[in-house]
Amino acid sequence: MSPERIDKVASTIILGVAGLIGLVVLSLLIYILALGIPHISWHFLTSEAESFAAGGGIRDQLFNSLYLVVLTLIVSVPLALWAAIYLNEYAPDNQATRLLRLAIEVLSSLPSVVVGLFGYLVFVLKFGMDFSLLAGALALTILNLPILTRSCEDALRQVPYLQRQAGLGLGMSKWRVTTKIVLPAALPGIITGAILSAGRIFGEAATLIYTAGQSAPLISYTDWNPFSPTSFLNPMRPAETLAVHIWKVNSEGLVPDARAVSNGSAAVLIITILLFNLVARYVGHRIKRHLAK
Amino acid sequence: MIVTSFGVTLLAGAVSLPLALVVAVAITEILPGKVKLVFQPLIELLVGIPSVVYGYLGLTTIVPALQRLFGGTGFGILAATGVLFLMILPTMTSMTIDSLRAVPQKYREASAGLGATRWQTISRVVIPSARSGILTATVFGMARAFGEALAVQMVIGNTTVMPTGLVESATTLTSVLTTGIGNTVMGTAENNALWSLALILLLMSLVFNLLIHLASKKGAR
Repeated sequence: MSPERIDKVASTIILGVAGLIGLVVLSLLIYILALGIPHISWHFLTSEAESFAAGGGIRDQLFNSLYLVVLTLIVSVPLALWAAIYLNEYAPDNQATRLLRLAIEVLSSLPSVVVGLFGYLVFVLKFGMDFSLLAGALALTILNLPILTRSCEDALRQVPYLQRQAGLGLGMSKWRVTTKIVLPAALPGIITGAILSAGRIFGEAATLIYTAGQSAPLISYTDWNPFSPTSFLNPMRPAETLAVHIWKVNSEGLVPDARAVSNGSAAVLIITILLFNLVARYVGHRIKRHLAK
Repeated sequence: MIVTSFGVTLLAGAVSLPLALVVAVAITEILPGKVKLVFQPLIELLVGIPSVVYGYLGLTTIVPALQRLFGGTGFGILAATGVLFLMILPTMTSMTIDSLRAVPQKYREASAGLGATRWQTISRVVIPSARSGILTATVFGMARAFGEALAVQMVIGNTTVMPTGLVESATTLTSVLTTGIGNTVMGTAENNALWSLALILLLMSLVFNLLIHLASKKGAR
């Protein structure tokens, strides 16, 4: 065969296979949504989960998931930002810094079960937090920190070096250059990174089984005192998240309508993550345009 | 268990590598730019889908399909491979796209200038120069597959035996951890064994990291 013919054939095969894969993946996505969306109703989103009977909702699980994301971000964003600022702006290029980067990289590829077990040993048992939202949030922080640090660092690195030089040339201190020039310019990237990582935390389950627990005790949404054990704001209560809920009703659950519950929950998870992605994009664009003005 | 863990990981990696490569090549080299605008967010979304959802998807689609094809329960290594394949394909594809895009445009122009067809350019210039990136993507995907717990646990059947076939129930390091830790008492031999498994898992993830480093260093040279 002539090279031209081979080229044609190869291109056709590549396009065909790629198209096929795209189609399969897309249809799977649509399949989950099509199964789940009919099951999503106001009742499903706002009623409690049932342990044995059919017709349970996911109110508590959904709230726990969102609350956990907020708690985790509160802990991990400042830490990741500090680490990124240090690594990108201050750290000298020596053996110690390289070791630190290596450590972050290793941390980012830890299996999530291992992180969960670590959280169980350290936060749940050693620090006596029991199964609680706080223990879950701290374990998720470990999981989230390396990824978030990297995306913050990327955002900081994208700020042109000239801007820093201009600031330094005007006699600003390095710290002021960092906070007044570099940080504002890197803000869209940082926020986008944080929202994307929020999507990842939202769906995490393996880490949470042994840290935040698998039970959702009765909580009251009218109790605003975060120290009361039944308050929905109390970070020391055990909490089952949406992703854990899907896993649990499928592998250990006794509910007769496990299929319907997990169909609905899976669709809610995917839609939420889709929203996180879209919001991240939108916010990134918006702030960029705002800064450009 | 270790055998199953490796088996599942290697199988998933081996299936995903060519397919991820094909999709990445199609997106970066062949399809026009507008398609990229659609594909990029789609792949990002797929990367972000929680592993539990992939596991559940496997439970509802792959397991019954295998049951019909091969008989038996449908749970087993093949089902786990399928789920992991779906899970790591988007990750590997997006990393492969990045590494293909990092190949300087000049290489392609030079190759075209020598009269090479597109396929010759892709197979002899672009892919070889992106090799280390593709290798890194593969190891990264396999590391993720190796450490995945819940998705695998949901479809693999969970019986601690030496696997004899692809559609027999089996168990991996991670799946036995998820089911076992909560049901054993701290300090007993069984519980200690589970913690040792966690240690092995930790060490394996370090090994994968080392491999990624080697792969990317090889490319830098």
